[in-house]
Amino acid sequence: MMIATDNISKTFYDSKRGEIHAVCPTNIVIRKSEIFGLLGPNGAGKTTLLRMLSTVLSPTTGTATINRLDLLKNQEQIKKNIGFLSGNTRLYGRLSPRELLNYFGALYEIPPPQIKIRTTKIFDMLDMWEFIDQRIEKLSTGQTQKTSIGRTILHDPPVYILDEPTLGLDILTGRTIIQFIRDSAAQGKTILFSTHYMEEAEMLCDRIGLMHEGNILDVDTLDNLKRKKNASHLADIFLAYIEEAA
Amino acid sequence: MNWKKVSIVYRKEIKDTLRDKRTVMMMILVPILLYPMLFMIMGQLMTAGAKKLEAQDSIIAINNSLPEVLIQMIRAEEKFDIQDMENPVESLKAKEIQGFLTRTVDADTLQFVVYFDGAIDKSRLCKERLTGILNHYLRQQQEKLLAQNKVDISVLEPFKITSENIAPPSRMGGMLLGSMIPLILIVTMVLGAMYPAIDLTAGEKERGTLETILTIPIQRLELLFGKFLTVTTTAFITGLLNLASMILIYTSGMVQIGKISELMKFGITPYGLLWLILSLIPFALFISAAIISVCLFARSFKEAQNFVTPVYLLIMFPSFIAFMPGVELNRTLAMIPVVNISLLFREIFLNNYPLELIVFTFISNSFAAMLFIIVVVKLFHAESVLFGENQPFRLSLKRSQIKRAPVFQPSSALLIFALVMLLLFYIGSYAQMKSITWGLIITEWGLIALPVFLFIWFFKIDPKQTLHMHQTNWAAYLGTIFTGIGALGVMIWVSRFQMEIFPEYEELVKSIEKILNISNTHLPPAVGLFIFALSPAICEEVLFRGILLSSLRKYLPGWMAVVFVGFLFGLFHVHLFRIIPTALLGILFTYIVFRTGSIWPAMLAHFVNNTLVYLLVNFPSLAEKLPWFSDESWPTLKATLILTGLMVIGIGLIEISNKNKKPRQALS
Repeated sequence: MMIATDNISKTFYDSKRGEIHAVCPTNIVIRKSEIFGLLGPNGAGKTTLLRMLSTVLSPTTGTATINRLDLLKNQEQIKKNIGFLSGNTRLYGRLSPRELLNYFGALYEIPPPQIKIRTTKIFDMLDMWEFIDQRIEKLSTGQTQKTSIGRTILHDPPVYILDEPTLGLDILTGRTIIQFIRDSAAQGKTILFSTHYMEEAEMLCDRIGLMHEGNILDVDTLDNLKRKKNASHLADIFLAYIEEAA
Repeated sequence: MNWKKVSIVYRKEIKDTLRDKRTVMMMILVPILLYPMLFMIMGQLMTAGAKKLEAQDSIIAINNSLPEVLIQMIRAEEKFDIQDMENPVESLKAKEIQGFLTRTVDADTLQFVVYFDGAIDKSRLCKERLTGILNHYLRQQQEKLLAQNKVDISVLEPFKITSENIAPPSRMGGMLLGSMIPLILIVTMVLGAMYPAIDLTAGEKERGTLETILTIPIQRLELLFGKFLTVTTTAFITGLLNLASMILIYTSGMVQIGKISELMKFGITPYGLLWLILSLIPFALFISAAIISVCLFARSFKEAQNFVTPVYLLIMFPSFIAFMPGVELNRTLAMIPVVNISLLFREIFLNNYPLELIVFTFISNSFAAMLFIIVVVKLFHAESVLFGENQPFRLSLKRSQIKRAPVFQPSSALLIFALVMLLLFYIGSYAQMKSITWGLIITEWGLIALPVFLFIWFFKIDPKQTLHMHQTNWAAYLGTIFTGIGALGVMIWVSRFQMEIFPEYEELVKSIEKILNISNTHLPPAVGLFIFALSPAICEEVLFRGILLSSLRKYLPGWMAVVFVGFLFGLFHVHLFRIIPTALLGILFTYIVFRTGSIWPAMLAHFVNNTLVYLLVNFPSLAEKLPWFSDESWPTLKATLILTGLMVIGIGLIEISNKNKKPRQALS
């Protein structure tokens, strides 16, 4: 058990709509070395849930444990145990990838020689050498995404939390990410990722959590979900769940 | 706080900032290129302009009945071009001529009159030329008359008057530069701090790097401190470069603005220069903290620029104090950030180094900076600030499109406050000037309460929620009465304290009483109480403890909302010496609503307080029986004890009345 949420929830206040329950009290368990996909339409609450698990937002109620660390009590340790990547975790455009990784490495309190070894490995792995000294603002989308991945795995955390990692990317760059997720799982990393592309979930996930309007509708393997709703496509399964909930 | 991480952030942010073209422009190019050029061109233009003016002839008209000798003298002067005008004064107005010399005979005395247009440089020069000739003519006539009467010319001048300026040119330069340079330094340092401050806060939000950094194990205080030190550094470097550039401009003689450079030499000693550079540091700390704290609320670069503008003006305004005649750095002024810096700069340019005051200045600026940082760190934890979920103010003029809401958005509530202030300035003060009684009634009901209710109606705000119209229990009301009476003691203490610090302004303080003292208008006490106690208790409470508190409460931590609303209440009383006492009173009233969750006790407290003040001012016999309230001297120990006691009991009762609820829930 790598991640376990304990009635975690988030409520926002909005002047127009009043109180919004972005995430209703939720309990999910993610095992070690598992690829767990969180699937749902826009506004389902996926991002909010992942932001809470990565300590960017604090939960309104409940908590969670990651690698046996309590989310509310060991924020600093949890941050060292996760790598968080989302469309919103952008990079400093005026730094080069090398400077950026050195900066974050220093903040993770990795000793400088260690950082050197680690970044060399990352540059090799992601094939980054040709652009590591250019400013990030000048890089292509694919190169930027590689730098982002480098940033996420820099401190070698056991858990990766990836929020819509392929959103807005072309097919080639998207494949870099998919390949990265597969490789990481093979190395024993636990991966929690969200998406609203059904195919991506079908392709990658060991288990899938279906999320809609702040609620987890069901969590199971793809095969079991297919069986339960007697449908072969994830999209159909999802619609069946939404109809059932309504 | 881990200083190693602060230093990591600092080094990265400096690198990042120096790679930003806008910052570098502001920090380096403006002082070392723009200034010298600007000053040089300005100086050349001014000198050229003066020379050109001097070379030009003055076109004048003269009255033909002037003495022939005088006319001859004027004609002999090359610089006059005499024109015949039918109506010379009209021609002067039409700018056809620059001067007109005529004569009147008034009670046997001959009088020459020079007409000129003081708003035109040429005409002022013409007037000087004409009076020069007249003085010359006067002297001739005097000599002639004396000679006729065989009196020696020396009787006209039994003695001579001369004056000797003992200030060396360097000190004269100090006077001028000491007034000008602080202003330029303050302005440029603020500009130098502005871009990095916006870039490192709102810019980081806008570019989406904030969420990245929040996933990294670093405390928000460490992050903020790194940024704060970065902005301080850029502000300091900007100030340093500007200072260096200005000193070079003046010492090199590159610039000669009229006669200034002849009269004054720039004479700052190396010791003074060191002090000057040192005192840039606390000021850099202060402005960085102030600017960063407003920028944190902005979601985008553009919004941050809008937020910074009022701060910029607020910082610039006090720096003008160095231009005010007679104001010198003293202990009190050394406590006020910005003001102390601009005065200290002037002292240093005059070669004075008042060590004690310098220390005061350093402490006060650094302390204020720390205060900002602490508040900002509190806010920096608030997710609404970090992710900017607060809606922007959008004025939708179709009421049908507006959706119901329990309370106003903070931005809307603050805009209403600003609008009410404007109404007070432009209509309220005029109405009160015409008639104090009607003016006050119009102000309270028409300019405060009416707009508030109109806005509540128009924006479909729930009146019950936004105005805290909730029930509370008897203990709250009783506590409120005690607190209201006790609060008067606090106000008297504070006013007395202010008077001790600023004895020279005692008259100003006293003038407040005159506003309240309407006994000579022969108002029946009931009407007086309606105007001075009941109306403010209802109208002002509705604005402050109603819409302002309920909206700000959603955005700020409880105690900060209380203090902030109290502070606005102080500002609202637009009188320098009422700000602090009324702000304290405002904090107290706000606290009452905050704790009881109801506006009614605050209205009662406000009513009790104002009633007491009204009675004491208008019924001297009552005041004599209660000498404690006299502000002629410090309140007696007995009075202080009684009033403090009342207040403690009152607050105690308010706390008890609230016993069963958790403090934070009282309002929700």
